[in-house]
Amino acid sequence: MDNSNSNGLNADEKLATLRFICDNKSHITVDNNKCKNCNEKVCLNCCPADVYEQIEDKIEVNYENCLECGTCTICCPYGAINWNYPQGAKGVRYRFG
Amino acid sequence: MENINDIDVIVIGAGPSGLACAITCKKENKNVLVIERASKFGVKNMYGGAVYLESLKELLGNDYKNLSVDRIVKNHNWVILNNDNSLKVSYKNKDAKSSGIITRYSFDNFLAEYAKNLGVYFANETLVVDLIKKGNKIVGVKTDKGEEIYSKVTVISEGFNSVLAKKAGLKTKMKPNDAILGIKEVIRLDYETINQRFNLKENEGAIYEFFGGIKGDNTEPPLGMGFLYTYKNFVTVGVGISMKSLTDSKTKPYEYLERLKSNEFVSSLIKDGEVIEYSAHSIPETGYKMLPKLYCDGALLVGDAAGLVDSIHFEGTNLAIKSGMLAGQTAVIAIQKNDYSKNTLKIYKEMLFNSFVMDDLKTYKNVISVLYERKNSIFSYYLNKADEFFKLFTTADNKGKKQGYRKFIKAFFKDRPIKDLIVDVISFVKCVINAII
Repeated sequence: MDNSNSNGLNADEKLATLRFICDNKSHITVDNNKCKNCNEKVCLNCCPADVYEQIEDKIEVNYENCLECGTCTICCPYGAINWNYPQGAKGVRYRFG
Repeated sequence: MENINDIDVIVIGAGPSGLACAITCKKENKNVLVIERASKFGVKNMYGGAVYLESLKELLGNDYKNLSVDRIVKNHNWVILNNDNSLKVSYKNKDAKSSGIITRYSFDNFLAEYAKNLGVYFANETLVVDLIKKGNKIVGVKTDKGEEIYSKVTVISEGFNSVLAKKAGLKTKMKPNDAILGIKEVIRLDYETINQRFNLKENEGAIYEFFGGIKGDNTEPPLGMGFLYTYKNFVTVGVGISMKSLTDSKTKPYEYLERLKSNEFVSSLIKDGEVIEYSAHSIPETGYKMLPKLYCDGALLVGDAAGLVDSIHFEGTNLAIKSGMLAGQTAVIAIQKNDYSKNTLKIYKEMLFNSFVMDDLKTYKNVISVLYERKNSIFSYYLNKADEFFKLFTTADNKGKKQGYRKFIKAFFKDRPIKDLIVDVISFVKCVINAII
């Protein structure tokens, strides 16, 4: 990524500007059986918070970073992502919005 | 909470549509409970930056004047970016006062406080996990705290992700063609710096819309655009990218944002500013053609959850407020008639179709599909040609102007199949005809 401009931030730095109240269980589950047949793995690049990560042959979910936009469920062509809202009061908290 | 057994209307979600509905019902003395999953109002919401004050005036009467906005939009700019060249159209209207720039945090809190003062009940930090059905009729909600709360009418104003709307059978799963991902950054700049850089006086505000400048790794440009809003002590810079384009490319959403930010035109506007918040939120583009079921026995669907967004004009909050008001009016009529079946609740859909909401969605019903079909033309070919034309027009190369124009016109027709030009013209004419008839 081009970070030559004065206020260019990488993904971690962007997420560090945010406040989260972490839920104790994930509001996202991935059916890795469905992921086995998937070559595209669009979840790895469509998420604005890099929630999805491939570790060996499995998709892991860093649900703590979720911005609750819902892009992943719409983009996954195999319907492998089950997305619910985090429990009440949990998840991202924007200060400006 | 008092009167938990005596709730007339449950509203799920304290955004503009839900709060407009709650305020409308409470003004008619109905018992309203708004259930909000967040601990504070507005913290789950994000948008570009402007609210339209006419809809607020309709909802609150003269009380709308108590809303204190950061800036009033006086200046609207459309900018074509091509590498580091730019072409800008700027419109300034000193008398403009129809839209205000304000954070969603402030705006949603203003509406929620107003509703609270009227006597609307609120249950915060509470997630509705399911709808309670009696036969086909929705009669209440189950929360994540294990409560069951019953009501006469349930209004689903849960926003874009619409988990409950799908459970209620009002909506089907969206596809990448049906939605845009919006991401943005809030960038702190001094009040004086903003006024100087954007040529603004006092509380005047500016909006920028950017076309081009966000090319990804693919040869095809993404279907998307950038925006910038000036607040009092910060600006917001963001991009809206079609989810289809996200699935077609390996470029990450925030890489598009960084590309826009590093474009010379944009970077000069945000120079030395500190990023104080990053955010993401999705925008439905289902529009007129893929309208969900707006009502069923016992429930109504409003706002973003119903896909009521005019993405051509970046309008959402005003459509949300209007749909919430109409849902509120419908709930009041249903309570008076003591009939909560589809038969009565269909009034909501009729009223929505007679309002500016469906009128605007209908006006642009073909535009989105044309944007998808003609993506390369609009987001690449014509942007380049506009740049080429102005380069030609402003360059003195000692070769004679006529020759240059001839070459430009010849290239315009020759640089790609003439068929594409014809299809573009037909698509454009169709959109215009649809918009005015």
